[in-house]
Amino acid sequence: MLTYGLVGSGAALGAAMRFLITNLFKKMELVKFSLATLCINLIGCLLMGILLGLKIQGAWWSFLGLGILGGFTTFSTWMSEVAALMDTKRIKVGLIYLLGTFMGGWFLILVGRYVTEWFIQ
Amino acid sequence: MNYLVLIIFAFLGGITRYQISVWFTPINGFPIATLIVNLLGCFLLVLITNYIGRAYKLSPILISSMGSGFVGAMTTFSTFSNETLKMLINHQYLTAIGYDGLSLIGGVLISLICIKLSAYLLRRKG
Repeated sequence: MLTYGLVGSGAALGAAMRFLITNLFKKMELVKFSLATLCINLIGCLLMGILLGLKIQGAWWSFLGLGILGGFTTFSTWMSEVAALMDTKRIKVGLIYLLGTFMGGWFLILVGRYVTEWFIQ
Repeated sequence: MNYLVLIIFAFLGGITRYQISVWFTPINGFPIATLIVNLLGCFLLVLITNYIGRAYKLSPILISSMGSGFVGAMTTFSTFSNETLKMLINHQYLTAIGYDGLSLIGGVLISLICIKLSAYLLRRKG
């Protein structure tokens, strides 16, 4: 039962931060190439790598990893943005955005993890 | 006030993701739960923003709370990337190709189909 509370409240916090960043990007008119979602997802992966490097487990993992980072990063917005690009025949930009986020994601987890492990050694 | 509604929806989205991960444990290292929430989320997000919100003239706050809040928190990119990386480290290349292929191609296709479906439903509603 506690895990539900931790994941839920973390997700609420994470989503609020995502909403805040997206609105900030919109105000700065940096909406080209879905830049906000790209930054959010890549930052989320870097932070997840750091959590893995710190070997966070148990309740803290539920709150930080599954909750905050799970709620902060988003798969559905990314996909709907790619699909919207494809739908308006901007196939090349869509593919670059799709593969860029995908490969950047696990690369940054790797970087976050090993840099953190190197630091705490 | 806007944030309060969004936070409540995101809380529920996070809990939904967790509950699905409790129900569907990985099969042979294949994270079926993440695939379910992510693909379901692609369908729901486009349906909410492109159809439900417009057809029923919902307030922008409610649309972003349901879409960005609930669905955004239910789906996850960080867990998806983490799972992919784990498969690569464990040399489960076929599982990784299957999982990523289903997630990416499935996600784009479902979103595209839902964009068309929403436009069709909107036209039919007049």
